[in-house]
Amino acid sequence: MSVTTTVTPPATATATAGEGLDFQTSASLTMGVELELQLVERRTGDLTRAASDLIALVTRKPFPGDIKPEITESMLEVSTNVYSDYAKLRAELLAIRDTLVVGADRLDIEVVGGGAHPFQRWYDRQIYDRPRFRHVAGLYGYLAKQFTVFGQHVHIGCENGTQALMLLHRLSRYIPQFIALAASSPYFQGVDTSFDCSRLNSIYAFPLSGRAPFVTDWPAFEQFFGKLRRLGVVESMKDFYWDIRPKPEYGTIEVRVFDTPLTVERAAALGAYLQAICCMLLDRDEEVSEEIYLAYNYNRFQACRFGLEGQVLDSVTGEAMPLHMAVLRTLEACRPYARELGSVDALDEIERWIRAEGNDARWQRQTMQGSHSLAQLVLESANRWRGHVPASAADAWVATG
Amino acid sequence: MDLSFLPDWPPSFPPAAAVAVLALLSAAFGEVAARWLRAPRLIGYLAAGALFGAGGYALKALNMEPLPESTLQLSLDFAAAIILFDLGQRVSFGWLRRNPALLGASAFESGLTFIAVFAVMRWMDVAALPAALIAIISMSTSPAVVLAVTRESRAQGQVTERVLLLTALNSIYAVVLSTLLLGWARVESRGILDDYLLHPAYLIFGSLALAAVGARLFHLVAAFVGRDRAAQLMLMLALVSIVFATATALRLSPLLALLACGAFVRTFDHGRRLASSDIGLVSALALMLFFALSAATVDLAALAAAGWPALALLLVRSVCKIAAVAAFAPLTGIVWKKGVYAGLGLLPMSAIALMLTQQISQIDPQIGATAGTVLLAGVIVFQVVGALTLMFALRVSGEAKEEQ
Repeated sequence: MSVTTTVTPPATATATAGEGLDFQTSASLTMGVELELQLVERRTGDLTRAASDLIALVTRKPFPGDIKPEITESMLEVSTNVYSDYAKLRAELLAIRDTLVVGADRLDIEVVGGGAHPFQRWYDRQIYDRPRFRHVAGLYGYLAKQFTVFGQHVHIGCENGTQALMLLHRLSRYIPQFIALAASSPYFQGVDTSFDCSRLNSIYAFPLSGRAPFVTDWPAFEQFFGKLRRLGVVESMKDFYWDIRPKPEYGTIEVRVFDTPLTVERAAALGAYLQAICCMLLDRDEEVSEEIYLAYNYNRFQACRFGLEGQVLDSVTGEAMPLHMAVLRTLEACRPYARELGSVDALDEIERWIRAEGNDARWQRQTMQGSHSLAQLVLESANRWRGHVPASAADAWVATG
Repeated sequence: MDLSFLPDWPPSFPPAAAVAVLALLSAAFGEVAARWLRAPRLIGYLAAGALFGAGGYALKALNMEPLPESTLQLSLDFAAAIILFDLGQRVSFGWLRRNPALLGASAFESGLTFIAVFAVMRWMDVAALPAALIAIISMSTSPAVVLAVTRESRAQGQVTERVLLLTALNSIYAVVLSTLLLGWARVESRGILDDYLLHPAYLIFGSLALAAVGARLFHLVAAFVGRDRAAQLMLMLALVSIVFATATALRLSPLLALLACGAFVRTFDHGRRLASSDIGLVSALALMLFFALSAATVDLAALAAAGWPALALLLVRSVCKIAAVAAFAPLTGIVWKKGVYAGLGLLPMSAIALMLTQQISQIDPQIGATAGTVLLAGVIVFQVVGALTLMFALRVSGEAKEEQ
C-alpha cells in the first residue's frame, strides 16, 4: 500500500542490514485499506485472466490510491492512501471503484467483491509471473492455487512496536465480530459450504496462520522473529498469515480476517469500525493476559460458520452471547470515540447491517434462492459492486430506523 | 463346396468405414500435432483429411468407397453450423456498446484489408467483380480455426476475446458485402436496379428475425426442460439444425442466422441457466469433422494454379490485419503489442470462406471461378499458417494455458 512512500526508505535499509525489525512510527489511529478483488468474465461469471491488462489501462491516468497484481491473473489488489478521516477514506474507495468499473467495461470484464469466487476451480488458475509468487507456488503447491481467496486488510497506525503488539492482543477479542460482519464467502468451489466465511478455512491450511504468539513487547518480538529466521522457518514478515500481524515497515498492525465485502461502502465502514475500537482500546489501556486466547479458535469457528448468529465466549468473564449482540454492545461502547473520529455514520451503517440487512453472506444466499445459478450470483454481485444497490433496501431502513 | 457366402477378396467396404477411418486418423494425427509439434490439433485433422483428398490414394489402398459428395457436403455444412452457433455464443456483442472504439478497430481492419486487396488484385489485372469478391472474402477470419485454437489452448484474456469478437464481425461483413456484390453484378449484367438493396435487406433482416425466433423458442422450451444438461444439449443441437435448415430453405444466410442465434441465446439467458460448457464437446467434434472433411474436398494442386495473385493476397492481407488492429489497440484499451498479437490471431481462413464463395458461384459461376482459384490457395495456406500465428499469439501474450 502507498504508506510505503512515506515510511519505507529507512525501514528497508535496516531490515535487510540485520535481524532487527525496526518499527517505524506512524500517527496513531491512521488507517489504510487494501482490497483483494476478483476479475470475472461477463459472459459466464467465471474468473478470467485480466489483471495486467486492467492495471495497464487504469494506470494510464493517475490512479486514486494504489493498484497492483496479486498471485493470479484473475486477482487484483487495490489500496487507499493513509487517512484518519472516515469520509476521506470512503471517498477514495469510491473513486477507486469508479475507475475500476470504467476500465473493466472497456475490457468487457467485471470487478467483483466477495471473499471467494463461488464456483471457480483452483486448478484452472494461473500464477502471476513474478519471482515471489513463483516461490510461493513452488513451496505450497495446490495450496497456492486454492489460495485464490479475497480479503480486505486494514492497517492501523501505531506509535511504536510495543503499542502495536498490545493493541494486537487486545483486538483479538473482536476478531470474531470482524469475521462475521465481513463474511462474504458462503459459496466455494461450486457448493454452499454452510460457512458464512469459508475463506479463512483456506488460509488455515498454511503452517504460519492463526494468531500471533503472545509476545507483548517489541524487543521480545524481534527475538522471536530472529529465531524463526535463523531456523529458516521464515524469511520476512510476509511469511506469517496471521489474523492480525504487525507491519513494522509501515508502523502499523494489519487486520486480515475481513472477507472483501461486496461494496466499497462496506469496506470503508469496516475500516472505521476497527479504527473506533482501536481508539477505545488505547484509551482504556487495560491489562492483557494470554487467557484471552482460550476461546479464540472456538469463537473464530463460530463466526466463520454461523456469521452474526454465532455464539461467542468471553474467556475472561465467562460470558456467552450471540455475535450480533456482541457487535451492538461494542458499537454502543465505541460510539463516543467515533464521534471524536468523525465516523458515527460508519457505525450507524454497521448497526443497520445488524438490525436489517445482515452480512453479505446472507445477501448471497438470498440471491441464490431467487436464481439458483452461481453464475447469476456472480453477475448480481458485480452489479452490487458497481453501486446499483436497490433503492428499496436503503428506504426500508430509513422508515424503521 | 459352395463358398459363395464368403465375401469377395479383398472385401469392399461401405462409406461408413471411410468415415470411421477418417475419424480415427484425425484423432491420431491431431494428437501427433499437439504433442510432438506443439501445434494446433487442427493441423493434424487437415493432414488426415488430405490423405482422403482428391487423389483418394488412402481409400483406394483400403478398397473403400469414398463418401458420396452429398453426404460430405451435408456433414460439412452441419459441422460449420455448430461452429458458427458456438462462436455466436462465445462473442460478447454488448462489448461494442461499452467500448465503441472496438467497432472502429473492426471497421478499420476489415476496410483496410478490403481496399488493399482489391487494389492489388486490380493492379494484377484481375477483373473488377472477381477482385471485389476476393477482397470481400479476405476480410473474413475463419470462425472454425479461431474457435478450435482458442478452445484447445483454453485461452483467456484480452487478445482471445478480441480475436473472437473481430472474427465474428468480419465474417458478418463478408456475408453482407458479398450479397451486395451479387446485387451489383446483377445490375451490371441485366440493368435491373430494384433488387440491388432488396436482396441484402431480405438476407440480413430475414436471418436476424429467424435467429431471434429460434432463440426465443429455445428459451421457452429450455425453461420447461430445466437444468438437465443432456436435455439442454439435445435442445441446442435441434435449434442449430432447425435454424440451418430454415435459413437454407428460405434462402437466407445460414452463417448470419447461426451467429446471431448463438448470440441471442446467450444474451437473453437472463437467469444464466445454461451450463456454459454445454456445446463445447460437440463443438470440438464438429471442428474435427469440419477440418478433416474440408481437407478431403480440397485439391492441393490449386496451390500451384493460383500463382502470383494468391501470393499477393497472402502478403497484403497479413500486413493490413496486423497493422490495423495494432494501430487501434491503444484506443480500445490495450497496449499496441497486444494489438499485434490480436492481428496475428485474425489471419486464419478456412473452408467457411469457400462456402461463401460457393454461394456466389451458384448464382454467378463466372465471378466464382476466377475468384475461386485465388481464394482456394489463400485458404489452404492461411488455414495452416493462420492457426500457427494464432497459437503463437496466444502463447506469447500469456493467454494460452500451458498443458501440464
